[in-house]
Amino acid sequence: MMQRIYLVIALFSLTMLFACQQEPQQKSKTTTDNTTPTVVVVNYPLEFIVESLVGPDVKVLNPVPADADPETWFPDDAMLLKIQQADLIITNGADFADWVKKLSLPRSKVLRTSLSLKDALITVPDFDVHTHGAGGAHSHAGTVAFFWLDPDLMTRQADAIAKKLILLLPQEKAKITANLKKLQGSLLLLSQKLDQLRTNYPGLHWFSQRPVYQYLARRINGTVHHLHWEKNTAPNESTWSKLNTMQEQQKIALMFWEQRPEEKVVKELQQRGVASFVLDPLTVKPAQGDYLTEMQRQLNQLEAFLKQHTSSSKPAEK
Amino acid sequence: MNGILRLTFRYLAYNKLKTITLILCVSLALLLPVLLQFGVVQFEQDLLARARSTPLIAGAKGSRFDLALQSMYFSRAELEPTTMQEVESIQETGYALPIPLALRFTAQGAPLVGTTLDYFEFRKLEIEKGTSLRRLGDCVIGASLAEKIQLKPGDRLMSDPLNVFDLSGNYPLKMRVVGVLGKSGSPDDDAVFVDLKTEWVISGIGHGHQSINAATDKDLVLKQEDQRTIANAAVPQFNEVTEDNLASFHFHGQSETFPISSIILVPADEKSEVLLLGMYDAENSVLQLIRPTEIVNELLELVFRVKQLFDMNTLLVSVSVGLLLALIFLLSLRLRKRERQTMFQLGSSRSTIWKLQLTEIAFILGTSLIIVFGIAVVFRIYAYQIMRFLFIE
Amino acid sequence: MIRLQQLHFRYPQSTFRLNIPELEIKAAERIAVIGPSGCGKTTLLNLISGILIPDQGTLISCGIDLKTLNDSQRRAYRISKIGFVFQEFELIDYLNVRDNILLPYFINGTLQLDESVHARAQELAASMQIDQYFSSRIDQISQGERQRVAICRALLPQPQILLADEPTGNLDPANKRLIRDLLLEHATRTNATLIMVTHDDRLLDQFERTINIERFHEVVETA
Repeated sequence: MMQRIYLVIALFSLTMLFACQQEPQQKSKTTTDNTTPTVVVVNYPLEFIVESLVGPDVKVLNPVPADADPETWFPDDAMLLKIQQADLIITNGADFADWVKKLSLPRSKVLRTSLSLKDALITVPDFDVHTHGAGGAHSHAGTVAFFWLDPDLMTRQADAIAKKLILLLPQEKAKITANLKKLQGSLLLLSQKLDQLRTNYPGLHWFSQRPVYQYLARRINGTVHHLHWEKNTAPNESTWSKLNTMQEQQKIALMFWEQRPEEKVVKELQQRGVASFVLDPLTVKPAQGDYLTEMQRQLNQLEAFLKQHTSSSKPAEK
Repeated sequence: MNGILRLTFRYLAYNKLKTITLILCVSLALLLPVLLQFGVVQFEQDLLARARSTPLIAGAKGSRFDLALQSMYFSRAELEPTTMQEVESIQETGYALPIPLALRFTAQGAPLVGTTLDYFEFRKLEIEKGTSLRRLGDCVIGASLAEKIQLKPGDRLMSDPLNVFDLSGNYPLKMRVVGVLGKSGSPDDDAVFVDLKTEWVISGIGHGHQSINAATDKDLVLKQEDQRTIANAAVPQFNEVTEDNLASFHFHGQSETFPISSIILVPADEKSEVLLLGMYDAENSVLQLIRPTEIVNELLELVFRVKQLFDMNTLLVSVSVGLLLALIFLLSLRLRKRERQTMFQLGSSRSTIWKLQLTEIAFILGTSLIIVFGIAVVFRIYAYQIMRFLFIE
Repeated sequence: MIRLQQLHFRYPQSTFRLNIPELEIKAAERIAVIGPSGCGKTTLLNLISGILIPDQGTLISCGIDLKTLNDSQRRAYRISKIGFVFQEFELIDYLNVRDNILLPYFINGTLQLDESVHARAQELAASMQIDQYFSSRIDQISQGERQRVAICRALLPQPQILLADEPTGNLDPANKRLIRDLLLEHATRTNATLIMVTHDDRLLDQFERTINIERFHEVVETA
């Protein structure tokens, strides 16, 4: 009898032993030995700003390959993981980079530079003409994303980025502040060039394929008329007809291109009295130089171009 | 073995039914208050643990309890939505890290939580299998849910339609399971987590659809305008995000206007917390800010008041069980009078005879206590799982 | 030896009186006690076993004056000297045959339960032809077998005095004689004094002496 009792007690004790619930293991985070913080940017202008502010103190990662379009490029899994693990992710805002809208990012590490420009953003009512569903074609308003084409706005972007970098690298505050001042000085020179253009060529009107140059236009008191021409798609009868109508209404004689168009299109435009100018928005790193040198060069070229074509670029008198 | 013990065991074994019945009665009478106490303590601990780990919650004005419970426990409640603009506003102050939550939908009955990667870091949730959220259409599921519905990374999970009978305005999405979280002993174990943007796709704010080739998809073309092919209503929208169609997904409107259910706020410091509370304390404030610990304490007060009623009931039950036991014992004494007389005549002392009677009671009480202790220990160890089973599953 | 002198006993608030001027029972004597119901037969046995104390007179048993003993001493005397067999057997229904036989050793700490006691119990049961029922419950054996179990229980501690209070009262004629003979046989074998109360005259022939207790009994009307 006693033996049975001892057996029961022993079995019970064993049950308790195996029943002991272990607390959920808190896995300690293995932090990689990463003394140099990684800052991810979505386009070249932001890359330029970060490098100007901190140089080698951070690892600047612009994940977009040189031959890809930063607006439509999408990272693979390996790159995505690198992006997610970055110490800071600087985005442009205004839906510039498609991947930002479609990837899961740690919000606490994201700096959306457009938030520092809320008062200066330009929203275009027919930013995108979209078609689906029973409603047929309809347009969506959208914010133009190419802030850096106005050096004053780029200065504000740089300021917001500098503040964030100081939080990331407090020990480099003095250096970042000094570099910011230097960058702002350089941007001021560009700004002054634009002031010149504004003074010399007020009220310019020009065409563009899509909404890109609005900030530049506002800066030099101009107006951009975007044609909703698809990239890599040749204009057809209908689109030429629309161009003609707009041209007659506004007496527009200029068209700015993000990259060199086909010669036949240039010729066609010329025949219609529209001169073409390539103004690279510098979303990717230029083959030579940097943002400042390239913008300076392009603005000089623009000045020369305008000198040549300005009489036909003014709006019709109403 | 001691003669008294032998005789006691023989007696109890002979009257098995009576013995078992008595042990069960006493055990139940003792067990109920013990289990109730453990249950309440566990409930309190769980509630408070979750509340303590959630500094502040912001949401549209309305029921504070609904806001707290839905944000912490993903309970079903119709919360008035707020917008991402509020998240941006709070972020701009620098007083707190805002973690938005969108809690409108479910997937196979489990709450579907739209949030950002910050949530996982905030709740210290680790990925046990697979990866964390990567892109639109991905989901990560809690450990218990993964076990229950047998899903693993690579599988697909469909979100539930809001209203089965209203097919318009429903955008169920076939999500890709990319990861399974480790067990956390919290409501996160039973939830499906998606990026906020995925939740917006499910709610119809974002979508993707196939490109129309005017030459080959004539049935889908409404008209051709300039370089644009305008599609008609027949163009199908994707109900799954894949590598091939990811590019076609887009959102309509400014993200600041997109809806969310609530916001978890992680204040930078105590001063920031106070400043935030002050900011949203005004009558005309769009949001309400609540401290979850305060809400939970209010709830617990209610629970304790109810518990007091149960305690009173338990006391009365225990008293009546005690009286019944006493009656049974007295009847047993009467029945065994001759046995006692015989033993006396055979030379046993009166104290030995009484020891025999009392050992019976001691055995029943002792066994009941052991049973109660055993069940209490098991309950204490598995309290969380038992409470889940009773109240969640 | 048992000697009663000028013994007076009465139950409280009762008309019953038992007055025994002189009664002597020799050691190893086999006595039958007879008399009508209520005349004091059981009372006599209870007095001899020390369960009851006489109001007056002396009662010496095995050289011990029982009137001078306290409760504990009388119990010790009962454990060591007396074996009791009851009319209703008084077996414990939740014990098996073996445990019923061993009962005195369970309830009396002064009796040592060891291997020799177990062997003796086995022997006694065998002599009573009930050893095959050792593991049986009491309700599984006959009346005669139950009384034999009771006798084994009484004999196991090797008492000097065997008191049997109508042990055959509930038995059929064949079992009556059997039980009587078993009691006599074991009393003879162990040299114990046997005092057996009986109503059955047919059982008296084997006893050395018969005492009619009626002559000692008195009913006193209380005022």
